[in-house]
Amino acid sequence: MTYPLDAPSTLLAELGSAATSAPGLGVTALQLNAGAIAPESAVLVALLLCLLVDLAGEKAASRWVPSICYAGLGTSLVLLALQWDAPVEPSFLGSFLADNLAVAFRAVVAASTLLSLLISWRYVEQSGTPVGEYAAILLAATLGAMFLCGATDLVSIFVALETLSVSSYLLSGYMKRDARSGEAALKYLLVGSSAAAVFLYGASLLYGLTGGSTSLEAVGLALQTSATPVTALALVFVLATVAFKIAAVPFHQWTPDVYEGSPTPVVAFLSVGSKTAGFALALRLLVGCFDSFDAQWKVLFTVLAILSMTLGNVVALAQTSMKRMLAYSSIGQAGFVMIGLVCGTEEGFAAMVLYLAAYLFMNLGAFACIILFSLRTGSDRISDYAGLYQKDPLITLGLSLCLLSLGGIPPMLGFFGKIYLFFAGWADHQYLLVVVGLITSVVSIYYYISVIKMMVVKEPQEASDVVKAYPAITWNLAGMQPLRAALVACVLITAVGGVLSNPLFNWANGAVAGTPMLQKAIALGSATVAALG
Amino acid sequence: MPQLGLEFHLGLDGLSLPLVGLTALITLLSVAESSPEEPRGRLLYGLLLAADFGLTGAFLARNALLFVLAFEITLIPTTLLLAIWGGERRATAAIRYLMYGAVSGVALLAGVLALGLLNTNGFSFAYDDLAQVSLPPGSQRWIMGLLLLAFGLKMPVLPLHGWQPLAYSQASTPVAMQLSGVVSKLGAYGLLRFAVGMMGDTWAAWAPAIAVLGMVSALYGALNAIAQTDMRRLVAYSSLGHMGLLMLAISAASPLSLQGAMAQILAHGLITSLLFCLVGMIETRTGTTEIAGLSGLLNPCRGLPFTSGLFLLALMASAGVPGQAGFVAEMVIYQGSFTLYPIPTLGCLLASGLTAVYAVRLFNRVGFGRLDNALADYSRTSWQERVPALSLSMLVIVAGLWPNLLLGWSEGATASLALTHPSPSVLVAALPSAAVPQAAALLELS
Repeated sequence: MTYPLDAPSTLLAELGSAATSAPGLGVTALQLNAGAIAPESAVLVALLLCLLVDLAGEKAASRWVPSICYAGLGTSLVLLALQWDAPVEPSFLGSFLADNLAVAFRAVVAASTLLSLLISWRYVEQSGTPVGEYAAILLAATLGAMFLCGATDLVSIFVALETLSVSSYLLSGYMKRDARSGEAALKYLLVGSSAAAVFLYGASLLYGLTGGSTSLEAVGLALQTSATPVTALALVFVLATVAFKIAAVPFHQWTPDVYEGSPTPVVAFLSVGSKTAGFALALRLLVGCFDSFDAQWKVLFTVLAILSMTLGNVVALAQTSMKRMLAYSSIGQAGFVMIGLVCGTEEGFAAMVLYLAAYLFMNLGAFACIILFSLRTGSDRISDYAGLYQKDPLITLGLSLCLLSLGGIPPMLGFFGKIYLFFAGWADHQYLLVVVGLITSVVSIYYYISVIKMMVVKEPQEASDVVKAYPAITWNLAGMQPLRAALVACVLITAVGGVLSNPLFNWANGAVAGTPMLQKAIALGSATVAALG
Repeated sequence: MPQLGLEFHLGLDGLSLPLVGLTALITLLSVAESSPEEPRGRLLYGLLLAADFGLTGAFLARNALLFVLAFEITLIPTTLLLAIWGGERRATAAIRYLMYGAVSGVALLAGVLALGLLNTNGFSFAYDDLAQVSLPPGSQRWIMGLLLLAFGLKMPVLPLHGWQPLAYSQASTPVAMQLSGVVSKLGAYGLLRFAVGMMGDTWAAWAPAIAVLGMVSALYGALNAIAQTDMRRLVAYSSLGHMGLLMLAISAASPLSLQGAMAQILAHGLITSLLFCLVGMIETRTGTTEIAGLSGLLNPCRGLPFTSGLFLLALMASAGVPGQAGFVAEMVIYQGSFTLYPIPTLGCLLASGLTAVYAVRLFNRVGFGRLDNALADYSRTSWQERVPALSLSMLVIVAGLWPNLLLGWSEGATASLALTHPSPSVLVAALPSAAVPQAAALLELS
């Protein structure tokens, strides 16, 4: 399905002829099919409305922006649900594909934005920064992340990636008065743009290899025939960018600093939404396109996964700041998810999707509690949580449940997610990965529990000064009700979702079953196994 | 969850029924033991019941993954119970307990995953399917290793007992009752269910080594208990010794010794809970558990005659005096395993003798002698406080006089679980030649 190299026609003419009678390309492949991005359009409309309202002044913005965002993201989620299991048709001339995988990942992204917004109103308001702009940038990041989940063309991938990245830089530097926020933004910007440059270089190599096409399909075909050092170089370059997005060791150095410096709700979005988009990109690129280099990238990712799980969980032990600890924990969690990616079996992919969805609720629940605590006390240190059980049972319960779930303790949602990952890894004979995963999850239980120990075990007289001076609990300030709603929802789903996770399992399996690209990879994988056995 | 092979399948059989009963009983009594004005009472009762839920679930599960789930569910409530209420070093104790427990859970999960996935009869985690497991011998070996690690940590047995003395001695009374009475039984039950029930061949091959381990554990526990100066630590080490006996019984896996194992599980559950309960009562009255700081408690007027009377009874039961539950269990164990592993059995007999040594030594210091006039102003125990200890003592005596209470439930289940062994004569012949006369000499001695 490559374009003829010697075709002298302009792009437009070529497309025009292809749409009617191009021999290798199906007619449907080149239809515009704009319905595929209806969910994104809803977000875009919300974004524009936010900007418009923001023009009307600060007061109008803080009044209208939240409901506009809810409406936009809600519509987007509904539209995504309608796209579920719809016949897969490439849209926008083959540069976007709304298969079930894309739908699932976009839903996770949109839900993470929705929850991050719910927990951020009060935070933003308290810091005295404009609400409308904040929401608009966050929606722009969402837009980029959602496009990235379905992009199947090097150019659109790059554009989506940069939309996400640029908005993320802006968000992490949003607290202009805080020096740490500025530092975080600068670090993120510098590391992120070099990652983008590396990706761009890799992409241009790929473009060269295909002989003039940017679609991933063409790239995949071209790679099957040419195994040169240049391809390996392109693989490494692309992989580095993916690893940067999902914060895999050794491309993780930005995470702790950015997580510590950025506004907490932004971190909540970055840890879930941005990471999900990164994993979607990883699937599209590695599984969809580098399948002929299966063995190579799997080895690389095995190494990355082992490094991430080990380093993330071990370094998290030594942290004193809650956000930094969660940053390292998220590096470790990305390592766990990579087990599913390396497996390349039906269960492996499904476990990945499931774990990311579970991670959404656990992590956002944890961040909601942290935000609530820092709103009330202004502190982020783990030792300041001592004795919180006496003063604020809600935060204690919520944070405990979410951390236990992150540690993989039954009957929380995280346990089922993790066991599915390990199960898939074991079934695919990735014993080393599973064993490292099991051992590091014991390590992770230690630091998650030590926070719970702080909160619950300490006697009233041992409480930290911050907790001793804990303010009376009130919910009537602006932006507190949504925060509470998000917190309760996340904690409930984390706690109860584990036992009732059958629908989630079916959903994750459906996401894999409804994705031609993954099905092809699975079939290929099992064929190789059969050929070997 | 069909994708995982996890189904909610519960069932009772001869192995689980007595344990479920024991769990319910001990939880009930530990709740009764804790005083109503306990600080942070709501959390205490909630956690005790949560632990009870996990334990009962583990005993009732008929699916290996469900068992893992319940096994891990118990970990967090028990850790918090240890961490919030108890002695001065409770935080260290809780963290150590947690880490050992987490390793145990992970080993169990890995073992169970391997068991279910490497099974050539098709993939399933239901007990009934796992019972006909057929694995390549190579993988059987390390799965068995993983399971032994998991359950050995929980019981605990000798090299894996690092958490136990500290945890038992730092726990508050109701928690110690539940921990030693029931949570440790989870390990023994797991061994019976998985190691003996599902991988009998490997178990039979490893059994001699495990029997020796049991013996060493029993001797080590007893000798260490003799050296302790604190009552709680003494009881903790005595518990370790009794777990060694249990290990010996399970390793023999003859019909009789397995019955003995079940009886020992129940008897030990009752007796250690009783001991911890009484130690707790003594501590609340006298304010110490140091053996050196106590004497003359049997004094009828100003001492604690009722508590210390029961304490004497419990120590006798622990040491294996006939007429009480401990004797029945130990007797059946020795009978069942002697033909198979004479030397470890004799070693365990020796350990039983040492049990009597530390029991007598302890009671001599604590119960007899004269009351220290400066300190002895102990308040009386109310009836309400006495109920748990009293009912446990009654059960210990009833079970000793009517052993069917311990043995009857599990007769069928253990008989079907028992392994067919090579005949004992072969085993004796296989022993090193020097060992045989030694064994014979010991036989004559006993």
